[in-house]
Amino acid sequence: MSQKKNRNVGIAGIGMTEISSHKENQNQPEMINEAVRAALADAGIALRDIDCVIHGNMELFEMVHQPDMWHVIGTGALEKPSFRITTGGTTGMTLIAAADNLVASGMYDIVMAIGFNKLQEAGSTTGGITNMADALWYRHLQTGALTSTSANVTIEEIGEERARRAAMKYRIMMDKHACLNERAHRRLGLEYDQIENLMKNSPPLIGELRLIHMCSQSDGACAMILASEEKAKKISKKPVWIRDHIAIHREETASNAYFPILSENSHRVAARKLFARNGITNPIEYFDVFEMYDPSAWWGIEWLRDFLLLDGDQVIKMVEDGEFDLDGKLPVNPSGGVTASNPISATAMLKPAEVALQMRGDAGRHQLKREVKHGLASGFGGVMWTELMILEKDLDWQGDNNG
Amino acid sequence: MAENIQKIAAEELISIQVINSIDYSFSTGPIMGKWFQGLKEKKFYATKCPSCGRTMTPPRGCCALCVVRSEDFVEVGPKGTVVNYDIAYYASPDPLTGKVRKTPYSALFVMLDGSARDIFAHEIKDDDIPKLKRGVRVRPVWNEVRTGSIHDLLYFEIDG
Repeated sequence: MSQKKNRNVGIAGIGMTEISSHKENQNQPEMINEAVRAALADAGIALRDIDCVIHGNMELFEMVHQPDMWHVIGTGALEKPSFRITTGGTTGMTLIAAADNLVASGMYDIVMAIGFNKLQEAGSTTGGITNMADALWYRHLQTGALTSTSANVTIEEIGEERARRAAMKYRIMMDKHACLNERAHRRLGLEYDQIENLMKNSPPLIGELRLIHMCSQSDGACAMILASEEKAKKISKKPVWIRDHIAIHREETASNAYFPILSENSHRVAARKLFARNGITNPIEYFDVFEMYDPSAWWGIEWLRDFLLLDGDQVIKMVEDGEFDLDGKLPVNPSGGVTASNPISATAMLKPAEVALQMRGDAGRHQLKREVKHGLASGFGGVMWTELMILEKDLDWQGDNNG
Repeated sequence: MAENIQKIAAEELISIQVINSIDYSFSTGPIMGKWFQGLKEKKFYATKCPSCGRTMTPPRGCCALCVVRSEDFVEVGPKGTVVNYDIAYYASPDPLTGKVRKTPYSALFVMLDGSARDIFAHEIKDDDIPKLKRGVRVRPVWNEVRTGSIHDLLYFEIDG
């Protein structure tokens, strides 16, 4: 049984700005408004049709406090019920989870969720993230979002050469996907014959983590319109349905992220619980696409194992065999993922947005050739904070035991 | 000419530069207060969960896993075993001082002797960075002047 929902909720409109390293031509509300207008145009509705607006970013980056107040001119929330959400890197997915809850409950029929960050305006993204750590102890020790701890463990498990090669192959695969996505920020044109060169020559950031492995810092906004089944069908020719989502926190202290105090990390717990309650026994077979929040290539190869409930080196084999390519067994991040585009509080929202565009057949040059019926999207934030969401092309899962 | 200048002026994109510098003061509360008091005496005081038995370093007054109060202290360490580490080459700012850190520097995750199912984070001595491995034994090096802060502990060094 999935979570009890009062009614079905569909994604009826998607709008996003181009994601880029700098947008000096727009201020914050102007950038947000570009995404809002795109989402309204996509849904074919007007601002007056929106019942509620949810706004989300991490304000410590831009240091504009109460942004939901100052951005009203861009969000269109004037005289509408409005909420603000800040849950770290997870923000974009929490926005969609909250919008889904608000519509499913019957509280509102049509909700618009907006996620953004304009990181070029921030003095230092890594400084901002470090400043987020617990003030009494970890703030002095935190190294932003940069860590090599998962690389250290993967290397110990499968050996230096194989681990480094797999991480770099994953990174180049992401770049190949990004190169097809006209909205992606970093499109580097990497080739697989550069693996060895990059393994040696990309500048080291921290331990085994090199500059090429790590996500970008980007400017951009995403807006999505969620509506009740009745309204979604009326508004959109191709609504995409939110089947279920789950949030799992494991962030008691920073050290939780770096040592398995518990037998499973938040990704594996989220996947296990979400799949079990939806009767999905084989996620690799069931899903047609997985948009994963992958802040670095090292975390990418580690977290795929957790989300797909794999053991040992199964996931490394799948990377080596190209099983996560656009034409592979389970395409991962056709968008190019977070290593390509990272306007942080829009980043996690780009995951369900991309899945929905793939289901609609509107992804563009990186549209998957296979029919996309079942999709998975993940968000990540804090030190171990997972949001995982199942999306469906058709409203046919209820009463069935899929998977 | 005048027209041209006006056109350039109209197209110029202006950014406003702001540097924030704000002083903060964070209360430790009694549990973390005991921890910082312990550091002054070169001791690590962990709390222990009465339900699952795990220790917490730095101490927390409640076990988040069992959702029970954990206000009994046990002394752990001072030596420990490295369970993971980061060696940073990227010169990130230290938000406590605003200064850019000297690189490389380390973040060290240590299982202090006598602790259970929780690790402790600090730094390793710069000279020991090349010798850092998971499983290595380390011991703390204390500051001569201890005031009850993270700087009471200078760093860990490899033991042996």
